[in-house]
Amino acid sequence: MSSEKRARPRMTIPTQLVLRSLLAEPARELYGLQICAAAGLPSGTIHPILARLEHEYGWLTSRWEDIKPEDEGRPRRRYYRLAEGGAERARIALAQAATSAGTTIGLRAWPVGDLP
Amino acid sequence: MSTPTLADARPRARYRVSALDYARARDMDPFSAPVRYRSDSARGRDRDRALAHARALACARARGLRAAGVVPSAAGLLTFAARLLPTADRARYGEEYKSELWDLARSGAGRLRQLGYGLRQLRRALAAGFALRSARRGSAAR
Repeated sequence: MSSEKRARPRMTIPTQLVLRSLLAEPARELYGLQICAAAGLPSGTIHPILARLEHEYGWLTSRWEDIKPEDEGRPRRRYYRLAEGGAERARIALAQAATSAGTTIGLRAWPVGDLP
Repeated sequence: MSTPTLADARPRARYRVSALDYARARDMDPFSAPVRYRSDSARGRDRDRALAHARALACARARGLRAAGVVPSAAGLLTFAARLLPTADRARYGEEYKSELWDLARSGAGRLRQLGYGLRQLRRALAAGFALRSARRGSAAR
Protein backbone atom coordinates (compact mmCIF):
# COMPACT_ATOMS: atom_id res chain seq x y z
CA MET A 1 0.00 0.00 0.00
CA SER A 2 2.74 2.42 0.96
CA SER A 3 4.38 1.89 -2.45
CA GLU A 4 1.27 3.44 -4.01
CA LYS A 5 1.78 6.63 -2.04
CA ARG A 6 3.59 9.69 -3.39
CA ALA A 7 7.36 9.31 -3.44
CA ARG A 8 8.78 11.80 -0.99
CA PRO A 9 7.62 14.64 1.26
CA ARG A 10 9.16 18.07 1.18
CA MET A 11 12.11 17.72 3.52
CA THR A 12 11.74 20.84 5.63
CA ILE A 13 13.91 21.15 8.73
CA PRO A 14 11.04 20.16 11.11
CA THR A 15 10.23 17.15 8.88
CA GLN A 16 13.87 16.09 9.02
CA LEU A 17 13.97 16.51 12.80
CA VAL A 18 10.81 14.42 13.23
CA LEU A 19 12.19 11.67 10.99
CA ARG A 20 15.53 11.70 12.77
CA SER A 21 13.86 11.36 16.16
CA LEU A 22 11.81 8.39 14.92
CA LEU A 23 14.84 6.82 13.24
CA ALA A 24 16.85 6.99 16.47
CA GLU A 25 14.94 3.89 17.60
CA PRO A 26 12.84 2.70 14.65
CA ALA A 27 11.12 -0.08 16.58
CA ARG A 28 10.05 2.20 19.42
CA GLU A 29 6.63 3.82 19.45
CA LEU A 30 6.45 7.46 20.48
CA TYR A 31 3.48 9.74 21.13
CA GLY A 32 3.23 13.33 20.00
CA LEU A 33 4.83 15.05 22.98
CA GLN A 34 7.69 12.56 23.06
CA ILE A 35 8.38 13.19 19.37
CA CYS A 36 8.35 16.95 20.01
CA ALA A 37 10.80 16.54 22.88
CA ALA A 38 13.07 14.21 20.89
CA ALA A 39 13.01 16.49 17.84
CA GLY A 40 13.49 19.65 19.90
CA LEU A 41 10.34 21.20 18.44
CA PRO A 42 7.69 23.07 20.42
CA SER A 43 4.69 20.98 21.45
CA GLY A 44 1.77 21.32 19.09
CA THR A 45 3.79 21.81 15.93
CA ILE A 46 4.24 18.33 14.55
CA HIS A 47 0.76 17.05 13.74
CA PRO A 48 0.67 18.33 10.15
CA ILE A 49 4.02 16.61 9.56
CA LEU A 50 2.85 13.37 11.16
CA ALA A 51 -0.43 13.50 9.23
CA ARG A 52 1.42 13.96 5.94
CA LEU A 53 3.94 11.21 6.67
CA GLU A 54 1.24 8.81 7.80
CA HIS A 55 -1.62 9.42 5.40
CA GLU A 56 -0.01 10.88 2.30
CA TYR A 57 3.27 8.95 2.14
CA GLY A 58 2.61 5.89 4.31
CA TRP A 59 5.96 6.17 6.09
CA LEU A 60 4.40 6.05 9.56
CA THR A 61 1.78 3.98 11.26
CA SER A 62 -0.10 4.93 14.38
CA ARG A 63 -2.33 3.23 16.90
CA TRP A 64 -4.22 4.10 20.04
CA GLU A 65 -2.70 3.04 23.32
CA ASP A 66 -4.33 -0.13 24.51
CA ILE A 67 -5.69 1.05 27.86
CA LYS A 68 -9.07 1.74 29.38
CA PRO A 69 -9.02 5.45 30.21
CA GLU A 70 -11.50 5.03 33.07
CA ASP A 71 -9.25 2.41 34.72
CA GLU A 72 -6.00 4.33 34.17
CA GLY A 73 -7.50 7.71 35.02
CA ARG A 74 -6.01 9.34 31.94
CA PRO A 75 -6.83 9.60 28.23
CA ARG A 76 -5.24 7.12 25.85
CA ARG A 77 -2.32 8.27 23.73
CA ARG A 78 -1.76 7.93 20.04
CA TYR A 79 1.53 6.18 19.32
CA TYR A 80 3.53 6.58 16.12
CA ARG A 81 6.29 4.48 14.62
CA LEU A 82 7.96 4.06 11.25
CA ALA A 83 6.05 1.73 8.97
CA GLU A 84 7.58 -1.28 7.30
CA GLY A 85 9.75 0.20 4.58
CA GLY A 86 9.24 3.70 5.99
CA ALA A 87 12.53 3.64 7.89
CA GLU A 88 14.51 2.88 4.75
CA ARG A 89 12.73 5.58 2.76
CA ALA A 90 13.22 8.07 5.56
CA ARG A 91 16.95 7.30 5.71
CA ILE A 92 17.32 7.76 1.95
CA ALA A 93 15.29 10.98 1.97
CA LEU A 94 17.34 12.37 4.86
CA ALA A 95 20.59 11.49 3.09
CA GLN A 96 19.38 13.17 -0.12
CA ALA A 97 18.24 16.23 1.83
CA ALA A 98 21.64 16.45 3.53
CA THR A 99 23.39 16.18 0.16
CA SER A 100 21.26 18.83 -1.51
CA ALA A 101 21.63 21.13 1.52
CA GLY A 102 25.41 20.68 1.36
CA THR A 103 25.43 21.50 -2.35
CA THR A 104 23.32 24.61 -1.80
CA ILE A 105 25.50 25.79 1.08
CA GLY A 106 28.61 25.10 -1.00
CA LEU A 107 27.31 27.19 -3.90
CA ARG A 108 26.27 30.04 -1.66
CA ALA A 109 29.57 29.98 0.21
CA TRP A 110 31.55 30.39 -3.01
CA PRO A 111 33.24 33.80 -2.77
CA VAL A 112 32.10 36.03 -5.62
CA GLY A 113 35.65 37.31 -6.28
CA ASP A 114 37.00 33.78 -6.71
CA LEU A 115 34.48 32.81 -9.40
CA PRO A 116 36.15 31.76 -12.63
CA MET B 1 -43.90 25.35 10.17
CA SER B 2 -42.22 28.00 12.28
CA THR B 3 -38.70 29.18 11.47
CA PRO B 4 -36.12 27.58 13.76
CA THR B 5 -34.42 30.10 16.03
CA LEU B 6 -31.00 30.03 17.63
CA ALA B 7 -32.67 29.20 20.95
CA ASP B 8 -34.19 26.05 19.34
CA ALA B 9 -31.02 25.16 17.50
CA ARG B 10 -28.76 25.06 20.56
CA PRO B 11 -30.57 22.30 22.48
CA ARG B 12 -31.05 20.40 19.25
CA ALA B 13 -27.33 20.56 18.45
CA ARG B 14 -26.52 19.60 22.05
CA TYR B 15 -28.84 16.61 21.78
CA ARG B 16 -27.18 15.47 18.58
CA VAL B 17 -23.70 15.68 20.13
CA SER B 18 -24.99 13.81 23.19
CA ALA B 19 -26.49 11.11 21.02
CA LEU B 20 -23.13 10.65 19.27
CA ASP B 21 -21.40 10.41 22.65
CA TYR B 22 -23.93 7.85 23.76
CA ALA B 23 -23.48 5.80 20.63
CA ARG B 24 -19.71 5.93 20.98
CA ALA B 25 -19.85 4.94 24.64
CA ARG B 26 -21.95 1.90 23.81
CA ASP B 27 -19.76 0.96 20.83
CA MET B 28 -22.62 1.57 18.46
CA ASP B 29 -22.17 2.96 15.01
CA PRO B 30 -23.54 6.50 15.30
CA PHE B 31 -24.09 6.70 11.57
CA SER B 32 -26.01 3.46 11.23
CA ALA B 33 -29.65 3.53 10.16
CA PRO B 34 -31.82 5.34 12.69
CA VAL B 35 -33.69 3.17 15.17
CA ARG B 36 -37.40 2.75 14.47
CA TYR B 37 -39.46 3.20 17.61
CA ARG B 38 -42.85 1.64 18.19
CA SER B 39 -44.13 4.73 19.90
CA ASP B 40 -43.24 8.28 20.75
CA SER B 41 -42.91 7.36 24.41
CA ALA B 42 -40.30 4.67 23.55
CA ARG B 43 -38.38 7.26 21.55
CA GLY B 44 -38.66 9.70 24.46
CA ARG B 45 -37.41 7.13 26.98
CA ASP B 46 -34.40 6.29 24.77
CA ARG B 47 -33.66 9.96 24.26
CA ASP B 48 -33.77 10.59 28.05
CA ARG B 49 -31.46 7.64 28.67
CA ALA B 50 -29.06 8.88 25.99
CA LEU B 51 -29.04 12.38 27.45
CA ALA B 52 -28.50 11.12 31.02
CA HIS B 53 -25.66 8.90 29.87
CA ALA B 54 -24.06 11.65 27.80
CA ARG B 55 -24.36 14.09 30.70
CA ALA B 56 -22.66 11.60 33.03
CA LEU B 57 -19.91 11.08 30.46
CA ALA B 58 -19.40 14.82 29.99
CA CYS B 59 -19.25 15.35 33.78
CA ALA B 60 -16.71 12.53 34.20
CA ARG B 61 -14.63 13.94 31.35
CA ALA B 62 -14.73 17.46 32.81
CA ARG B 63 -13.86 16.13 36.29
CA GLY B 64 -10.88 14.23 34.81
CA LEU B 65 -9.64 17.30 32.96
CA ARG B 66 -10.07 19.54 36.01
CA ALA B 67 -8.26 17.04 38.22
CA ALA B 68 -5.33 16.99 35.80
CA GLY B 69 -5.12 20.79 35.89
CA VAL B 70 -6.16 21.28 32.28
CA VAL B 71 -6.95 24.91 31.44
CA PRO B 72 -10.49 24.94 29.96
CA SER B 73 -9.71 27.68 27.44
CA ALA B 74 -6.79 25.61 26.07
CA ALA B 75 -9.14 22.62 25.74
CA GLY B 76 -11.60 24.92 23.95
CA LEU B 77 -8.90 25.98 21.48
CA LEU B 78 -8.21 22.32 20.74
CA THR B 79 -11.90 21.61 20.16
CA PHE B 80 -11.94 24.46 17.68
CA ALA B 81 -8.70 23.23 16.04
CA ALA B 82 -10.22 19.78 15.57
CA ARG B 83 -13.25 21.35 13.89
CA LEU B 84 -10.97 22.71 11.16
CA LEU B 85 -10.01 19.17 10.16
CA PRO B 86 -11.96 16.98 7.73
CA THR B 87 -15.06 15.49 9.38
CA ALA B 88 -13.73 11.94 9.26
CA ASP B 89 -10.56 12.88 11.18
CA ARG B 90 -12.02 15.23 13.78
CA ALA B 91 -12.74 12.68 16.49
CA ARG B 92 -9.32 11.06 16.24
CA TYR B 93 -7.28 14.25 16.25
CA GLY B 94 -9.54 15.94 18.81
CA GLU B 95 -8.89 13.05 21.20
CA GLU B 96 -5.18 13.04 20.40
CA TYR B 97 -4.82 16.80 21.01
CA LYS B 98 -6.68 16.56 24.31
CA SER B 99 -4.66 13.59 25.46
CA GLU B 100 -1.48 15.60 24.84
CA LEU B 101 -2.91 18.59 26.67
CA TRP B 102 -3.71 16.29 29.58
CA ASP B 103 -0.12 15.00 29.57
CA LEU B 104 1.18 18.57 29.45
CA ALA B 105 -1.03 19.58 32.36
CA ARG B 106 0.03 16.54 34.38
CA SER B 107 3.68 17.36 33.75
CA GLY B 108 3.09 20.69 35.49
CA ALA B 109 2.61 22.97 32.46
CA GLY B 110 0.95 26.19 33.58
CA ARG B 111 -1.83 28.21 31.99
CA LEU B 112 0.44 29.99 29.49
CA ARG B 113 2.14 26.83 28.25
CA GLN B 114 -1.18 25.09 27.79
CA LEU B 115 -2.63 28.06 25.96
CA GLY B 116 0.51 28.17 23.81
CA TYR B 117 -0.02 24.52 22.95
CA GLY B 118 -3.66 25.19 22.06
CA LEU B 119 -2.76 28.17 19.90
CA ARG B 120 -0.02 26.29 18.07
CA GLN B 121 -2.40 23.43 17.32
CA LEU B 122 -4.98 25.91 16.12
CA ARG B 123 -2.44 27.66 13.90
CA ARG B 124 -1.36 24.37 12.37
CA ALA B 125 -4.80 22.81 12.10
CA LEU B 126 -5.24 24.25 8.62
CA ALA B 127 -1.97 22.66 7.48
CA ALA B 128 -2.98 19.35 9.10
CA GLY B 129 -6.41 19.57 7.44
CA PHE B 130 -4.77 20.27 4.10
CA ALA B 131 -2.45 17.25 4.49
CA LEU B 132 -5.35 14.98 5.44
CA ARG B 133 -7.55 16.22 2.58
CA SER B 134 -4.81 15.86 -0.01
CA ALA B 135 -4.04 12.32 1.23
CA ARG B 136 -7.71 11.45 0.91
CA ARG B 137 -7.87 12.97 -2.58
CA GLY B 138 -4.74 11.02 -3.54
CA SER B 139 -6.14 7.69 -2.36
CA ALA B 140 -9.49 8.42 -4.04
CA ALA B 141 -7.71 9.18 -7.33
CA ARG B 142 -5.89 5.85 -7.11
